[in-house]
Amino acid sequence: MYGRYAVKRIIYGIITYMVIIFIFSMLFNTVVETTLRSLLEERLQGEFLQMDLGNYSAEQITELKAQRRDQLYRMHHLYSPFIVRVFWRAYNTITFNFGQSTNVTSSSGERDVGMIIAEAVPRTALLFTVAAVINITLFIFLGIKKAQKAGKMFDQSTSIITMVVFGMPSWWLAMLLIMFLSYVIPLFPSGGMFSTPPPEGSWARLVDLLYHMILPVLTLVLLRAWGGAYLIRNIVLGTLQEDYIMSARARGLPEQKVLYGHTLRSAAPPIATMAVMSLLISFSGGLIFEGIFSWPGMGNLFWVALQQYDIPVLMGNLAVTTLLYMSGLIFLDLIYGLLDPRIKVGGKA
Amino acid sequence: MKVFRVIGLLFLVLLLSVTALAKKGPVPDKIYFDVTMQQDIGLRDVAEGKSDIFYYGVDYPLILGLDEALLNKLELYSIPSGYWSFIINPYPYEAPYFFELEGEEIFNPFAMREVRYALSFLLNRQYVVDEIQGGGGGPMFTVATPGQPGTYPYNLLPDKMGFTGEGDEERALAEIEAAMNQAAQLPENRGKLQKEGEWWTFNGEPVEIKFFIRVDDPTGRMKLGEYVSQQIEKAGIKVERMLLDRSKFWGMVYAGNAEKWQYTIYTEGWGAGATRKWWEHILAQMYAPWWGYMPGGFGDGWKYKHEQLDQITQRAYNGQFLTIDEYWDLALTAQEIGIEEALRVYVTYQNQYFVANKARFNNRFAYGLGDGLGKYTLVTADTPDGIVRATQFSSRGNLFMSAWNPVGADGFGDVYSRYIAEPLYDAQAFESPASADILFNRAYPLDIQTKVSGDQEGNVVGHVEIPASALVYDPVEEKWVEIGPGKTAFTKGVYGLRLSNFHHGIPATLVDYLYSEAFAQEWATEDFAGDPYYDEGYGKKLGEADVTVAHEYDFANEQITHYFDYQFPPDESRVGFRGAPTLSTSANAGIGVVWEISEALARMVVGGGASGENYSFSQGIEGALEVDVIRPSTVVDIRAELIEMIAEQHVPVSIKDYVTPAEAVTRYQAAVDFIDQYGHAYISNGPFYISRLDYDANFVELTAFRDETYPFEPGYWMEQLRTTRLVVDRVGLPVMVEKGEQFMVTANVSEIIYPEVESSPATAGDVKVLLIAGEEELEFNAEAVKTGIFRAVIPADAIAELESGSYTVVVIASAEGALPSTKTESIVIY
Amino acid sequence: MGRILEVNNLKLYYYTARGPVRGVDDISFHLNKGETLGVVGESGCGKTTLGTALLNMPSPPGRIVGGEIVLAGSDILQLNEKQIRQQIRWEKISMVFQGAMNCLTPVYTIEKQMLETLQEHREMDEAAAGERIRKYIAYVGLSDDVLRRYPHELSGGMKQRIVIATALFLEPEVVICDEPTTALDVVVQAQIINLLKELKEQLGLSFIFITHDLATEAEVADRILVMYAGKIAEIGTNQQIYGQEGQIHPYTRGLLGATPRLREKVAKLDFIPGTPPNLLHPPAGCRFHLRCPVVMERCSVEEPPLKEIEAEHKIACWRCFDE
Repeated sequence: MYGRYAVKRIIYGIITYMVIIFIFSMLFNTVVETTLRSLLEERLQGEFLQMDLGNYSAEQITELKAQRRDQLYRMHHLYSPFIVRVFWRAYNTITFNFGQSTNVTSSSGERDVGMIIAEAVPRTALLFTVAAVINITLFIFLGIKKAQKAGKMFDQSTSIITMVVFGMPSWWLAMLLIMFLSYVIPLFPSGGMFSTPPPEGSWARLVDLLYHMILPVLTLVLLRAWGGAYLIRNIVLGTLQEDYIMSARARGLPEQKVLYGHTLRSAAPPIATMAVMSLLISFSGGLIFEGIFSWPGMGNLFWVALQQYDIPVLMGNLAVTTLLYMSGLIFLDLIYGLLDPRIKVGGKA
Repeated sequence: MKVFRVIGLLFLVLLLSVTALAKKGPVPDKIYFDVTMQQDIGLRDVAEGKSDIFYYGVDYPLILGLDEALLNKLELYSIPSGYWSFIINPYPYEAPYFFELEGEEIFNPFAMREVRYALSFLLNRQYVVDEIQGGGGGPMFTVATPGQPGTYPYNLLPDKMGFTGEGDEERALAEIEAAMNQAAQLPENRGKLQKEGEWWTFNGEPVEIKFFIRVDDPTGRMKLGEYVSQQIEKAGIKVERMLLDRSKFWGMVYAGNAEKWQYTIYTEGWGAGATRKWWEHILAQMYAPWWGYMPGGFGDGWKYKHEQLDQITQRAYNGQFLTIDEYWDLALTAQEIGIEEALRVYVTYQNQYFVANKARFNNRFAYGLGDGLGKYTLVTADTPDGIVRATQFSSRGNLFMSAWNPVGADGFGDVYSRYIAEPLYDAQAFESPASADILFNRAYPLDIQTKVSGDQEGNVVGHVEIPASALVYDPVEEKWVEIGPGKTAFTKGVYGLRLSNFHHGIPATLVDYLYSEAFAQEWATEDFAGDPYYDEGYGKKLGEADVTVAHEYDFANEQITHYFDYQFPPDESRVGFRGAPTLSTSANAGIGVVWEISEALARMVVGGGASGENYSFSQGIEGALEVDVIRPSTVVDIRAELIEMIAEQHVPVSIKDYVTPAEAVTRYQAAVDFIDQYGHAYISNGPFYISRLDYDANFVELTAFRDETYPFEPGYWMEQLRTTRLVVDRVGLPVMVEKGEQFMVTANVSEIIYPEVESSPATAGDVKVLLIAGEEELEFNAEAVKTGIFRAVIPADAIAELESGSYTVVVIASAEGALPSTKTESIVIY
Repeated sequence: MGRILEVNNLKLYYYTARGPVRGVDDISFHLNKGETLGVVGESGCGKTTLGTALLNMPSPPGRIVGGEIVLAGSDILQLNEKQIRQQIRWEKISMVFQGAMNCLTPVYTIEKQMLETLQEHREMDEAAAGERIRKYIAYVGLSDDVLRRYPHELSGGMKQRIVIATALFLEPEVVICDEPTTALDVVVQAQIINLLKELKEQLGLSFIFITHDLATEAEVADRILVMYAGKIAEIGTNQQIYGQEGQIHPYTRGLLGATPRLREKVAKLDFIPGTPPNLLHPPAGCRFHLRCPVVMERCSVEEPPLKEIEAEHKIACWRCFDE
């Protein structure tokens, strides 16, 4: 029963994924087309303005331009009919054949989209996933503490902080922290992944990298730990009212076990959802955030590819993040039953 | 004992001074390049000393926004970043100035030349600079950006024609009114074109024009468009403001059909080009119908035509003139017609600023007056510890955005790669960033002879005789052949060469030049259909710009004689530049590597790499990767190729008579050793080489090439680049003068010695005062009365015969070897 | 026999935003070893509060503000939380909860929960613990395979039995049963009651049986404590309360009257008019006086003390003292 449900769910997920990729492909190919043409013309104009074509005749110059235009159009696949492009692009993306980028390159000059993304993901993971892990630990811990001492000083003060931070744009806080902790008190670097010049030797590099991670991770944690804590607090508080919690206490179980065992386990589904989704979304990075810290990860890749209308990279980027996201959803669906035995997974409602 | 100590010390001092004297190469020892993705942080880092130079031109408003404490820590380098202009759709261009569109009759006031011309007076360019640009920039009237080398003859024209930065609204409105009235008098327009109240109407409907304003430039062109719209409306013409973005402009303005009336005026924005001295090809681009950027140029409807402009600009562009006077005649006539036709009206140029940390530099470094930082910035950067940290700005955080392709036309296509790569190679000659004068670097002309004449069609014909034994490379036969008797060329140039060791320790010889000439011929020529030794993009870019006819190689004296078809009467050094021999195989200027790398790449393009990858010299070829000398996977293939070449004892076919297999193998081995040590294959002859590449950290380290065979010592280039620039700060003259009176014109002139920005009163100079009286120009000399102050006395009889009215007075300050300056005032004579 | 539990002047107030609500207001009683003391009263009279108070686990915002609970000679209110948790709760006193529907943690199997509780209090390895668990499961009449199940997979009766097994397997001295059968159907109810009686015999336990169901109470209780509005109205033996001879508190009489009898048909059931008083501001004098059918003037002024009117029988009622 469960097995059949699992298979059905995975197949459903795959189909949804394919549809999403197809929609992306259609969107990009439509919206980007006219702008791309204009962009290419502008680029052409700029190129020719820079050149000194003193020895060319008028016809030769026109011919040169036409040839260059032709080359650019071919590079961006603007000659294939629209629907062909949509299907071909979608098919390639689904089969993980991301192809070559039109413009964007990896740090080492590779054009292969797969390699570009493979380079960007770990960088984002270092920042956002690490921050997500710290956040999850923190907000579970904080949330439970708040629920334990609901209404008291700790709870109220952290709730106030939550509200203050909620309205803050992430980039503003980031800039503020950089201002204070990088310039006013030069404790941390102002951005980038490594120092200039980067140290040699893998141990020294690791330390340098960690040193550069501190400020961005700190910002992320300061921003995002509170919201989760608040949610967890409410969930836990609700659970704490339950009779079985009182019953567990009456049985003489220590508070640690009651809180982290009975309460947390009972509230597992929503908490697990938050944790898993938080982890998965972290792989898509943050566009503005990565820009501020000069951290060339997935978010930044997306932004740059968008600006340069580099469809292969956009599709690859979105495909990877969508895949991760959907896998997370499917994974959660399948393990809910394990988390809370009351939930009948796969059975009829 | 003490004696020995003293002797020892003296010896040490002597040794040190000797080694110091013998030191070659650039000023700094090491350059660190990194990247930031935030402009604010880049600026701040430089101010706070975390970096030394911000390698990105920052817009003026950003500079204004910095607080004073920060600004004081920064050294600013200001250069023009671009400029704005309007393009005007003049359809139907001739009387009666209206046309039919979808059943409606539309009157286009800008079809009248007088109205277009008056637009320049209608707008206050100084206001645009001060209010919209925040002060960073200046008014512009011609194709030549003011303050750049070689621009002042062009900018003298608008000065003489009475154009000022503030404009003259009254005059403009009056002229427009007059032109409209005149149009209204035409028989076809009688009764149709009338002024009702403050608005002009045509067939009862208000006369309206469409203004395409770029909305994706909200602080710039959008404001400009709004301002000018308001000004035009003062003349009684309604303006429909179309706020559109970059996706629309190509289709509507350039590729659109002018008759369809999609726009009347469009706000153009251009980027500044290189530091240049000769502007004639810009004239073609901006005013000539044949180039295509005039109204209707790329569309399928009405096209603007002007035969005289086409002719003049083509002749100027293609070098079809025999004297410098002819050149200027062509250029200035074209410029004048351009201003009068007023189809492209220049508005202002914008400044951008490069910043460096003041405390870190002992003096200002070199920079391009027209394009900002470049190779010579790094060569002349003087820091106390010999280390320069340069931070680039890129939203991706990559240091390299295009392939490091040292051959093809697509290589080094982005400015980031250029900033790092140009200091690695010494070209044969280059344009001085300070003055755009030609500086001969590795090849210097010993003798240039040009002999040309014009034939009946006006084409240029060369008369320099070429010795029959001069060599030409035949790519089909793959060998050097003698050119044979009876051949001529425009110019013969004899060049001395400054040879040195390459970065991997191998000395350069004439063979390197032979190889590069042969390579260019081979790869730019399609010997037969499907020739694998042919690259279309390379061929197109290099091939037709090739002026070479033949070469002579003098190994004994290390000289090369080049016979080529190029002439440029105004400037012989430009001819020398054009003909200077190069050892680079690249289609891009400023890039070059040793021939063994080019050969390895060529073999990889033809036969594929050891890893199985297919390569090409061009980007975007289906199934092939563009070659790249720093991409790790490609470097592996290059190394493998070199090993194979060693095993085969391979000698390139074009130099097999000049190089033994053993010599070739030595070179290949040196290249392999270099790759093993540094991890990349950009081996060249420039003042720097890349000593460290760290992709994860987006970091590059350049180390100075301190080889004793390197021709230049650290201070050499700073001396070469020092040029004086004169500036006319103030002109003093009476507001009015009566006929029969003499009057004086005083000019305060200061000089600025590049690369400094501080001025001091001019110690020398030639100052003239021009009084423009209609078609006549009265010229007077101004004498220096004190340092920096010049005075001209205009005698009473000079102006006695003139009509009463307002006259333009232009002061020109020039000096030998200095960039001149002008200033315009006006005076009323009654 | 001896007294196993003695409660003296116990006060438990709930500190709400509007002031202290006097859940349990100065209560004193004792429990003898081996007996079942029934606690009856209306909803909200303080019976459950009493139950939680005995474990020193008042539901927030409640606090014990006075009195003593003497268990096996010592006052457990003097101990700190850790001591109570480790030594008293479940060791000496355990509780069978009301509404077993929700008394077991839904995410753990039965076995895990029982094991956890057992191992918390005793140093036992899994084998020994498992044995004891199985012994008590058998006692309550269930088979071993309930151990593998989750609470939601079991019926109400089964759950209740498990709760009982859990309450007993540490062999505490006092077991408080708070409405253990209220949510169950009659058949199961009877089973549970029999079970409790059996276990009391077998294991020699002392029960405090809290319920509002007088019929059940009559079955199980040896002595009965009637609570009203946080105070004790009457304590007496089963016979004395239910016997229908002698004096009983008017409230008790009202309760009995309101209980339907098996063999009598009545045209209308008596009920006690009015509602239980507000414990925030309890009425002056006797708390029952507003609803008492035999109220006197004195009742509204002075609170009656709990006075022994015959052996083992105490009443707090002015009317009863007079006669």
